[in-house]
Amino acid sequence: MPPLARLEPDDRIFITEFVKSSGSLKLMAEKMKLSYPTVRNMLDDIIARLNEIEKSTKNSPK
Amino acid sequence: MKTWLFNPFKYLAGNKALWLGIVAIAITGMVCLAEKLHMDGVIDIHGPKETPTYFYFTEPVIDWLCLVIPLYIFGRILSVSAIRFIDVAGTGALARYPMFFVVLLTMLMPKQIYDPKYLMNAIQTNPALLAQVVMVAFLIIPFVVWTVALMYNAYSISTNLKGQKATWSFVVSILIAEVISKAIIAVLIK
Repeated sequence: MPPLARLEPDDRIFITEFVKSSGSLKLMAEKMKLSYPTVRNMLDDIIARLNEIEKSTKNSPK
Repeated sequence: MKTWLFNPFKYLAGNKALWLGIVAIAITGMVCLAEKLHMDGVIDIHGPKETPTYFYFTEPVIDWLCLVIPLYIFGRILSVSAIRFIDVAGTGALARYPMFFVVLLTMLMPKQIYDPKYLMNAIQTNPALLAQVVMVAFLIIPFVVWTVALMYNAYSISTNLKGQKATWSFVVSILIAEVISKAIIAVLIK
């Protein structure tokens, strides 16, 4: 399964909205009525989870 | 409600938080001016001392900057996120707004407290003064805790730091800020 598909549903919704906002955190913050650093932190946490998924996929026996 | 009280930075940061924080700092400065109280440290308020008017507004700005700068430096070193100075500075300014209530409550302190020698004599002749000092101190404590909690949450949100990393770097920053702000203010007063 691709790493994106292994994310939690909320994370996938966030990524979909982020792409639809042309990757603008500022626009995302406005849409979600949250502050810019809150939205940036959400994205950074998803990136960290994606990295962990990729790492665990690489380390798992084939 | 709890989020708005302890972590409004989830919704407010950057320029908006900075301007609201500056307004709160200015209003607090006005109350300090009226009562001749001095915010001569990051979370300190001390008694009447005659100084030029600008001092009452300069002191909280020094306190704010002395904390924001080490927090930003720690954030840049420890966080993997691309943090912005405006978020650390803005949320750091807004986090100071409960100091307004601390100043208001400090006004309830008996005026004798500001002269320790006189205070001891005053307490001996009027023990109710001690009760007043203790009661006001107990009222002030929750507001100081609230301020520190807001400062920590402002730092955590604006730098995306959590857990031990966030805690120790915040404590070290507070200590650095306390020493530096007191030193700068002492030099300015001289």
